[in-house]
Amino acid sequence: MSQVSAQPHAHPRRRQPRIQVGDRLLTHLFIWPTLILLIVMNVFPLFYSLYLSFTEYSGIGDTPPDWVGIENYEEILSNTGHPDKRDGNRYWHNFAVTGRYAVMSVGLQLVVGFSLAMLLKEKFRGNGLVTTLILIPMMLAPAVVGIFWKLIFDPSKGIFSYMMYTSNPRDHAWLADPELALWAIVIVDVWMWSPFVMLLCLAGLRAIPDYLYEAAAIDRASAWFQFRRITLPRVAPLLLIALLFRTIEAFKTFDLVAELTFGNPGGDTTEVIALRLYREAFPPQFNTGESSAAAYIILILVIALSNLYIRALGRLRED
Amino acid sequence: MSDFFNDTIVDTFRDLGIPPFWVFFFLAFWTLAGITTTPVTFRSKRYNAYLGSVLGAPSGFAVGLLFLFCFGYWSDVSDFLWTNIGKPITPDLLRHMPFLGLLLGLGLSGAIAYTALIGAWMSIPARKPASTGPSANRPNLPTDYSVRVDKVTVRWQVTRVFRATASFAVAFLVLIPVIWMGMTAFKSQADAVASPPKLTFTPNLEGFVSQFWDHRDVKGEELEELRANEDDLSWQDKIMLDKEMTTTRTSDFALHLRNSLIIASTSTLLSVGFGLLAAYAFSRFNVPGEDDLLFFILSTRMLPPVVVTIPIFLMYRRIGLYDTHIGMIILYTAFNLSLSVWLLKGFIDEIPREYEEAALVDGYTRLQAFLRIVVPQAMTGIATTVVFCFIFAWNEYAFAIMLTSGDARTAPPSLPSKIGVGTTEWAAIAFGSLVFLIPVVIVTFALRQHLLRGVTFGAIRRG
Repeated sequence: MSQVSAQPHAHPRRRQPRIQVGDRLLTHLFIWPTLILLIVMNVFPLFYSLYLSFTEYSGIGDTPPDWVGIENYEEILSNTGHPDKRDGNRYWHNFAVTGRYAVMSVGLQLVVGFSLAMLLKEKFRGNGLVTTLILIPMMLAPAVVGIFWKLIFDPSKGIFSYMMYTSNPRDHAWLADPELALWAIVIVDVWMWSPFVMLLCLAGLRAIPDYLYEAAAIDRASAWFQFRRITLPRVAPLLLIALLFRTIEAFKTFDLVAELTFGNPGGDTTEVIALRLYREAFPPQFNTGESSAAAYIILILVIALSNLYIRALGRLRED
Repeated sequence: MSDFFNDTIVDTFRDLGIPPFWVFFFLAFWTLAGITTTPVTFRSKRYNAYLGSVLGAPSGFAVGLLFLFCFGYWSDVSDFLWTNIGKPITPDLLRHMPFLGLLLGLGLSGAIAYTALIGAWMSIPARKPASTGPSANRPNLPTDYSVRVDKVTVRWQVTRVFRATASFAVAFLVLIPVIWMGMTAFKSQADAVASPPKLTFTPNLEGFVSQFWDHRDVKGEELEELRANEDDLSWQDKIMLDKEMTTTRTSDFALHLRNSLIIASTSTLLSVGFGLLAAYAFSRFNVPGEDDLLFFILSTRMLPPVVVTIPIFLMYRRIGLYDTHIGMIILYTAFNLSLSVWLLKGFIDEIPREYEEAALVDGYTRLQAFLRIVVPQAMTGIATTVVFCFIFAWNEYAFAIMLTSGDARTAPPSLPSKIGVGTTEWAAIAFGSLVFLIPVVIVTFALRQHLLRGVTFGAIRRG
């Protein structure tokens, strides 16, 4: 296939197409469909919600958006709430939950993923199979994973309690326990995404040339010294990418939490910011103006992180 | 034998605070490690490898027991950790935390296991270094020189085999939830919610039928009538008859699965099509502000779905795209475009420009060169991109739950709708999940060479 197409026919078709398309026109023709779609579906909505974030507006009401300036932002950041709301206006609480969740899950993922990569870096028979098997959780749908872990965490029917406790598993309902629920979500997230970190680290570890270790061994460098001075610096760029990517994703987490606890138990101990937004912006709350403002606060955070991420990716490309 | 195992060993360790699962797991693991590592050590001494296996099993089992005892002895430490996990760390808590104990327990068990299993054998001098390369089974050939000198010793070989065993054990642990899901899918409803969870059961298709067909209870005369005419019933009715139920019509889930298929595949085709054009332009032409544009395209991917959906929801409702296939297709196409542009650009960059230039000299137009030379050459890349886009659209949940309600709802948000309506039909949910997972698992295997590339947007080529 490739050979045929690599060598064009000696006598290409005589009849040239009637319209000769120049390279410059072609560039525009090729790029604009993509750009238009992205502008319509991403840029325009973002500007629209920027406008909405300065207004008092409800998605279901007939009243047009009412300009209120930065009142929404003030309200969110000053942590004062409408007295008539369910639990006040505790956005800071949601930010704190999200931050705690991000630190816990990303930290554990890096540790577990890196250890897995260290375990799998030497080739052995069946290495490819094991690596692929371990990668399966990463490709699953978060929603499906969430639903299923709900059964696994179930105190009487699930296997988690039976694996973790020696007696009377009915007492240990992780998802209903305000103190453990966040850890339960972290466990699922770590189960799902450590393979991603492992995949990146494995690429880094396999790319380290053997002669570095040989030279170090000849110089009688200890295993720890070799790890610290050869392995870590070589894997560091990939670890950075994993860290940034997972942090961005952690701030966006929605499906997993929505399926596992939906913010409960104990009121809202696991209500991450994306879930709070969903509750504010969609039925029955329909608090469009204020949720747009909150959305913009996350957006700024995520965009800052994505900047770093894309830069790190770019640096890796150049090498 | 099994009674002895259950009563004596498992109960002993249960008293020490180790759940039965881990007793089984570690005993099996260390026994396996014994079986796999001993032949390697004995081979270098030219003993019979089978002798090694025979010796390996009991010695590995013994190490396993030792390991568990060391763990169990410090079970109060682990108990402490489990009960206090998630609580804020206060100075008071720190004072009571027996760190030293934990370290001692881990260190001691590790050291004993190491000495027993590897340390002693390590000291046996190998007469001839066994090689890891192609000459491994032919001792007269020289060692493959590409193998590192320090990796042909017995110690390294044992470590390598131990690593392999440990990796398989880890893979098993990781896959337990998936295996459990597969098992639950074929359980009956009663078995699926049994407490304690059942490991052995008679597989049946109850989960499948109750996920894909709506069903209702039948009682009294109607039940008798159905039983009398059992031979005339459709096969799904026959299955449900054992549960004293009958199917009424195809369930919403089947419909939503079809929606998923339509939306995911159409949006994949569109995004790969547009992405291919844009990627070619970025790769071959001088696009003004190329880096900025690429940066912009990728950054759209990073936006949190909830943030984007708020305005899109309002937009869609106004122009009547809410809960329609077209609306979801457009959204997913835009969502996947960044991935497809970046991935495809990486693949097209790898095709030498000379092919096209030769074609252009021979009288092809740019468009012909693109269609007849670049596209066939990039076929692997296109296939990879198609699969990645499809998987992302297939798995997507946040957009779907916010922008659809009925007609165009896809499968992921529809799965849990079985929860909360009466009793949760876990077998049905497990079957639905399984149907949803199977394509993903197949694809993971098919794509394993390109996985890294896909998840890093083409930045890293090879794993």
